[in-house]
Amino acid sequence: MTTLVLDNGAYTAKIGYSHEKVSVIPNCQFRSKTSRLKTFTANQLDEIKDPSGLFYILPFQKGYLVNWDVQRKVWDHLFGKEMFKVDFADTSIVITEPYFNFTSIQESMNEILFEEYQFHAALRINAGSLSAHRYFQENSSELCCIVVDSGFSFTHIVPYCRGKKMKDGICRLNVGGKLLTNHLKEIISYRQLHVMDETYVINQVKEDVCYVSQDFYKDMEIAQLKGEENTVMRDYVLPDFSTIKKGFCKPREEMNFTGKYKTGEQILRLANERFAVPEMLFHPSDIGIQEMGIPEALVHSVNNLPEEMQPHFFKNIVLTGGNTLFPGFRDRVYKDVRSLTPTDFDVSVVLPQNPICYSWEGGKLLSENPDFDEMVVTREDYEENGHFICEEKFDI
Amino acid sequence: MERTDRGLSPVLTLKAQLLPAAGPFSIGGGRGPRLCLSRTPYAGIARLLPQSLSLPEKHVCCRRFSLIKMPTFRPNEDAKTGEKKITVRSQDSANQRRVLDRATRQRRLTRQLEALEKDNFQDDPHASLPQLAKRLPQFDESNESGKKRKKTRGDHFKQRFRKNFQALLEEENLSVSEGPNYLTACAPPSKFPQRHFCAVCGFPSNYTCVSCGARYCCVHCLGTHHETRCLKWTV
Repeated sequence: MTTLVLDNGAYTAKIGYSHEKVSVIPNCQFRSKTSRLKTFTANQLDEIKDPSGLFYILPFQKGYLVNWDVQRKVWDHLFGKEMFKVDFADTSIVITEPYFNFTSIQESMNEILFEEYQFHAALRINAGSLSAHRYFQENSSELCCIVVDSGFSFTHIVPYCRGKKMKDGICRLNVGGKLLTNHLKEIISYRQLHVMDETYVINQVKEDVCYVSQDFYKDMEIAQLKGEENTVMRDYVLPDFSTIKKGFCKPREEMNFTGKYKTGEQILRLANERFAVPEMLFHPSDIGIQEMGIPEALVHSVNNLPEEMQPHFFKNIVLTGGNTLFPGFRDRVYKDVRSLTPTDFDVSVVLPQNPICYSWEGGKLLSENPDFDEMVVTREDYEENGHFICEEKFDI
Repeated sequence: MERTDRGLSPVLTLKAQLLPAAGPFSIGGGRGPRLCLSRTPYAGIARLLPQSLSLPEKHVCCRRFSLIKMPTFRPNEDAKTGEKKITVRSQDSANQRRVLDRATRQRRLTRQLEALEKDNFQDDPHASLPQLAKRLPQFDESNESGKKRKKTRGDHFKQRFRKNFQALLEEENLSVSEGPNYLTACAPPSKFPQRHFCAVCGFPSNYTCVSCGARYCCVHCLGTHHETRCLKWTV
């Protein structure tokens, strides 16, 4: 009997057997300008030689699974003989779902897992619960933690007490990696070069050059300076997918401050874009989204919880999800939360080694837990009791 | 009036100058948006500019000339060869003619934010392929796995599995009565005041475009804004 852990994210699926390593694979399909007639699924992305103008077909919309055709294509590929060669009758699956997942999506999920794929058993759970599980395993003396999961579609702030999710404290910001990439695309297209079709390339730019500012207005001043003094400015060499396979930042010593290069490469000059884009996670109102930023929402969420628990939450803030990889993210969250909380509370913010796969690893730990067999619903159970048993057992 | 027909606007500005009144006055009569000069801060600039044309004869002359010239007045030419003053004036009158109300500004903002949720901005590269056109919404070209899927797929696929996010959300709200849910979990508005950044260059801004409410930081950026986005950003 094996267990397959699948953290089914809106952008990447984190998948692997519980006794093996995790793989991060795009959870979508692609179409390319150059190879017409073919639709590429998940990691077939690597086969595309020229990913400029890459067209995405995503199974998720605003973080919720709506396009089952695409999702099934991706899963067929992942579970199939090319990748994980799943023996469904002899495999249990741990699969993640977003918070407050819609009932009809949950039911569709049951049907597909048990009736179409016929898994032996399944456990549907929130990714944050897996992260919290891992955190409590590693810090067994702690009673509470608050998980910040900042992913592709949105950011969730979820308090957990003794392994239990506190539903009243859940707070969602509608700011995620997709919004950041699209915003970066928008401002680059307006200010220098039309890149609206280049989601793939600009996402790479975002990952390569963006950072979270520790002193926003000071960085703004630096970014306005001319020439050598402007330490924020970077020249990013765009890939042409023939000689330059991947974009990169020009090293500081090779930078030409007049902005004119003799070499034919295409350059993006980025200054305030570098930190103004991730800043949307901290001040969504900067682009007109009237919501609290992450630190404020964290404090807001904790303040709505019972008073005696509050110090425990501030002491155990866990950051997960791809956006937390921006340089300076952890320090900024700490700084802002610190300034918003009374001085008698300890504040501690933890950024795990691999924040993207943190919840997958939590799922791996959970599957080794002696109680795991109690938590799953087997296909027999499902065939006997239908959706009811899943609703009883799974806490989504 | 859109800036595309700005060939006309210098005439309108001159016409405005011909009127003797000093207070707020309007031109345009029943059709088209009204001109209201002294409402906007730029009305002051507009009044300063044509001072050289103070003599009534010149005004008349000018007007006649412009009217005759009008049909050959091309916007591109105007941008390249025309003096700065004329550009400013024409923009100015555009401002005065159209100031977006709060509801319209909010709609534009909502549209911008919705655009940030899009998966792709370009068209599907397969969309132009005729043989696939029919099946495109389903994103499936049933090649080798077609047979197998047809067998396993029940009729539920056609109904329940075809809802978009909005449909699912609406469906959910009917059944949810109490307790935290998707809607209540959304973060409330921030308690801190909103910060403002130049819509053109992204640096902190102190000024607001009178027409559309966009922020800008300096005259240079305002010019760019007028030429590119102001009142134009429509989907």
